Amino acid sequence: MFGYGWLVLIAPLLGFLSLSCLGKRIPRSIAGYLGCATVGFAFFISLILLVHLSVLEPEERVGGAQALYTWIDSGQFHLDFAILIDPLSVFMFLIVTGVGFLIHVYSLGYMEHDPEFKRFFAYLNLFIFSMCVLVSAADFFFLIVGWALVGLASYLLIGFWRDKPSAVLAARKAFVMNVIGDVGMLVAAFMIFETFGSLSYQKVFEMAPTMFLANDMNMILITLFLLVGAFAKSAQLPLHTWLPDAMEGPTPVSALIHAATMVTAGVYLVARCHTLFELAPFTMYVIATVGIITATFAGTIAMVQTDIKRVIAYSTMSQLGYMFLAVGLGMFSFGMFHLMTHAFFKALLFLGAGSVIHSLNEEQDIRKMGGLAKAMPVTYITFLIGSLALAGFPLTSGFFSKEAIIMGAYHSEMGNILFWGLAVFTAGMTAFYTFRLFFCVFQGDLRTPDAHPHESPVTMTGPLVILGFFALAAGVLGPWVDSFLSPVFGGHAEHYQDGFLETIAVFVGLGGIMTAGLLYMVRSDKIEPIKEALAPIQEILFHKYYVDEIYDFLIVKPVKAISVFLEDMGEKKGVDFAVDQVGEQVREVSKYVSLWQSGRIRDYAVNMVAGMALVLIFVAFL
Amino acid sequence: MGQEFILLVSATVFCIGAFGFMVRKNPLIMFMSVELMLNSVNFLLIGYSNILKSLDGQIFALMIMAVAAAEVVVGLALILTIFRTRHDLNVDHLDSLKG
Amino acid sequence: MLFFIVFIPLVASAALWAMDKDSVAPVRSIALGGTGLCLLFSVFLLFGFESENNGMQFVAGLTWVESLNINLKFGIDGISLWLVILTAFLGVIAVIYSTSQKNDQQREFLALLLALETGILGVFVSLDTISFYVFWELMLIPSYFIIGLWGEGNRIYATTKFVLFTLVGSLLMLVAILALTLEYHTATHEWSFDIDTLSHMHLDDGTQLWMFLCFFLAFAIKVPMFPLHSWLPHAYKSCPIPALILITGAMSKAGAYGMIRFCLPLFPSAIESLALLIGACAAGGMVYGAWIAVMQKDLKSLVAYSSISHLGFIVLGIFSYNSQGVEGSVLQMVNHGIIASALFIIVGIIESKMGTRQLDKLKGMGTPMPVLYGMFMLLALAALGLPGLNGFVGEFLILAGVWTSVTLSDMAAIYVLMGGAAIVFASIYMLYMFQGAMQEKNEDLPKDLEDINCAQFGVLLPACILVVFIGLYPKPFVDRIGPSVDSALHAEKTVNLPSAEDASSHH
Repeated sequence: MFGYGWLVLIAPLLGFLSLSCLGKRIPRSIAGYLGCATVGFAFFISLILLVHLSVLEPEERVGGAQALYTWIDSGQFHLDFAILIDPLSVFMFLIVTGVGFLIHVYSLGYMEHDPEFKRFFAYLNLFIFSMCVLVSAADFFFLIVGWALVGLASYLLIGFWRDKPSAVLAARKAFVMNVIGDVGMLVAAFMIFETFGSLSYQKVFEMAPTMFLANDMNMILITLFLLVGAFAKSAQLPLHTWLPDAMEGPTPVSALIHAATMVTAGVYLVARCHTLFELAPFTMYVIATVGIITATFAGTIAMVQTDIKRVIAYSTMSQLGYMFLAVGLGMFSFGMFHLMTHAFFKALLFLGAGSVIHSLNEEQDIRKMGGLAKAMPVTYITFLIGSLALAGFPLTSGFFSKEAIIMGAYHSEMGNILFWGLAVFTAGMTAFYTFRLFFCVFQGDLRTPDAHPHESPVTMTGPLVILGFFALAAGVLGPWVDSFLSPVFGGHAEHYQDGFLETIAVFVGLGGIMTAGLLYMVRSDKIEPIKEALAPIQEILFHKYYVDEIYDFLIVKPVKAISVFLEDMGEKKGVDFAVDQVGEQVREVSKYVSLWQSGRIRDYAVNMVAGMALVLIFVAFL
Repeated sequence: MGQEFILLVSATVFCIGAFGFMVRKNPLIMFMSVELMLNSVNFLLIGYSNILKSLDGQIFALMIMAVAAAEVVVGLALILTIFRTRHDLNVDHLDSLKG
Repeated sequence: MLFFIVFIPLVASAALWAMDKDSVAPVRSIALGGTGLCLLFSVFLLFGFESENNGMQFVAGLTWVESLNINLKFGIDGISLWLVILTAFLGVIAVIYSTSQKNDQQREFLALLLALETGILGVFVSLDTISFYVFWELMLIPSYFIIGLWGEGNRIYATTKFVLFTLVGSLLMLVAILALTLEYHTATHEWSFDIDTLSHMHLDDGTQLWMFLCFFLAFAIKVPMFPLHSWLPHAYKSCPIPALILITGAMSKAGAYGMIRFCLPLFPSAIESLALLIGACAAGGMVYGAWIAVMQKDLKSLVAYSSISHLGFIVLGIFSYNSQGVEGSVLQMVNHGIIASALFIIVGIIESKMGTRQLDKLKGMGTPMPVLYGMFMLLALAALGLPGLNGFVGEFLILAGVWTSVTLSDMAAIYVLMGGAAIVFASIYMLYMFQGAMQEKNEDLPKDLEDINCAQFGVLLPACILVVFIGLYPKPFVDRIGPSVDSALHAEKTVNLPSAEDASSHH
């Protein structure tokens, strides 16, 4: 039915292969356009798929897995390389290739002067390909393949500036954390294979409800192991530390991978496997809890960070927490809706930040910025839109998606006042730190005297404007998202109406914006006293609750120490010593045995006679 | 000559030879002891060849004498060489093969 | 056909000894021709091979000792097919790489290398226990001289340890080989050293146990499996790279191959009783080797310890005792052969360019050497088991086999988690290695540092292609392995010992 679906995958793959292997044979001038064109083509195909799906009856939209070739056939283990085209995967295709295309175009301007321009586009194409593999996988195996490949692309792009030691370190950290997640997924896949005898979504999701009751131990374990992967990829506690460090990569990368697409893969996973997760309410509760805790945790940290990209990175973590809260509470389409709006406004914010950084010659400290509104009008306006959407300002896209989640946090089946309270509190913090950032960057006076800010080229502002439009208006797509995805989730998510709670949430958000405005615009003389009063808290938050240090002390150092210990005790003093000792002991014993060999003929003669006598006695008498 | 007599003489001579080989330090004497042992065997062979009316024993004895002669040649040559290089014929001092 | 494949390198080796010592070019061409011809023939095998057939193919035999029915019998099945091709392939690579380097005694070195190749090939194709044993020992002699004469560092210690250790194992194996035939003689009053014939013999549990241990020790030492690996770091560290390609790529597989060829069909009950223990050692080895590799500064010993870890995977897969696990192991043998040897080549290139292979003295080589950068990255990623590349396919099948294994059932989950830990460690040490050598800025790089030359590129390229190909499309490989693995796992026991017959008639 969707025989052309593989075109989405093949275009970026070809782009990656040609850019990376042909090397000098592709002129630099073409390379960028080639990289954009492949993704643009993939987006175009995704649009065709969307139209194709829309004309089908809702029940025909699901289950369109296309086997491309048999990948392996080993024992009971049979696996096709197949791609799955259904509303959920096309929805993700559109976000990935659409936002991806805009960011590719943006990179044309942003990376223009980079000597390794081509390598950058090759990696970006690889990422788009991997992400498409991830979302179009029709079974858990290729899900893991895509899962790991996006991890690889993320690793490559974080460490893109390979001369920078901090980038190299951050890339390694991200990769290792993601491998931990991959291993979790791998174990989940083995359990699924053992339980259902298959890895294909279709079979597993069909069999699971008939085989298990809710909260069966088997289902809980499977979903928890899947969750390890989801949390590692989506930077949820306690596997979150790589995401802020990942900001070492070029800004378009942060926008594409670490905000709009890859980090949302965890949410996608839960939504995709909703059949399994619904059978494990315990796990759902874990998801919701971790989600809301991460949202709050990251929100508090974002309030005091001074690096423009890190603030946005922590806000990404926080928003991902919201998404997990949504899917954990069973509101899958709200989670996906927030995923979409977040992709727009967060990509917008990152790209805007990139534009600012670009014009200030790689300056990232917001304390040194200010007053950029005049110099960069397009960036200013679009950034404002993005900030409003992130803060949940009424009628922006973020408002609709976040309100739905916050309402559900209280009203849905598993919701409670605590979830709601934390969600609203976090929304307030979000509004505060977003506008703190906004005011610091664009209002007031420039705090770096010798900088000459300028508006970015049209390749960069163009995507900003388009994303700005969507960040502002995508809220109206909410009902459409819900109905489009309903065949996958087997029903609509209930949109709860509660005027009172809604009003509170809106006012908390506005309050956050106003507080930021008051502090950073009107009475900036009050900042220092407040900071001093809250110095201890500020210190903890600035050091991100010392999680990195704790991990270093609890995990990294012991791992290294044990490695050294094993080499010393296990190898040198252990197996080596044991084996050498065998040799030594043989030599020792031979020293005594060789005393027998006195070298004197007469002794030998005596031995010989004695031996012969013994033999004679033996023969004669025994 | 009875069987016992042959056995007795042969065993006695053999023991003298073996004993001599074990206790003497002069290689020449040790050589002679070896010859004694060989000859005790020869005596036995010839004696029994007479008793059993078979020539096999005598052939064997001749064979042994031939081998012994060859051995003496080699052995004496060795002893001479050792004496020339070391000016010492005490076999107890020849212990360079000590383990 | 198989006779040609096995003995061409030996003939070429003999020809090299006959050559004039100073004629460099003919020496090179003979060595290359010998291994090349061998590779050519073994690729022909691929076309004649019937993938559905689970028996031995291309069987050829020569009588050796008629009275005892000892034959020089060769044949391959899906398991040995890939290992033969791998060995022939690595032989060519090793010769090319060796001739691209300066070496005063090229002729002797190459002659020994070729003899080593014959030994390894002979092990993989022998269907007779005695000829298996002979080739098994034949592998040892050239490697002894290669490490002892051309090695570096503490080479005498390394080579002595290697040879003595391996000899202990192989002598035990000889005892078991003879005992096995004697058992067969008791049962049927015929002599046979044929592996296939013997594997149909029913042995009682006690006999199985001690014979299995004798065989297994020999193989486990050769692999080597933790905790019998003590020779490996020393030998690998000393061994010159071209020989290391064959030793790590092919010879270490001989042990695992032996386990599949002998232990699985011959001693099923012994495996059932010991699998958990062996699995513990193998799984322990995976984590142990990987963990030590994390802090290695010497690139060569880093790869050596990573090999211990990967070989642990292979042994664990074999003793999962089901088709996924064993097929995964066979595939992983091929994968590891390709990856580890290519990594050693890269280490060699780095050492020859920079004069050191200490990680703390290396930095930033990627910028002037983009091609090496790309290839190194690809191979490092394959080694750490990135999905989409070949290392993952093997590891996935192995762990899937372990997870569903009956023999390991009590501990399966723990072993799989240990495997997961080993994969995580692998990502750490491989990235340390790759990033440490290739990334960051280095002002002290030699000014004239050039990218790899054509010969080096040619040596690495096939490895890179295979790494990607097997990762994307493992089916053709696994399809040929599968039937043979099944027949090894389900050897029919048709020949009963008299005592066993009595016992069964009593019941």
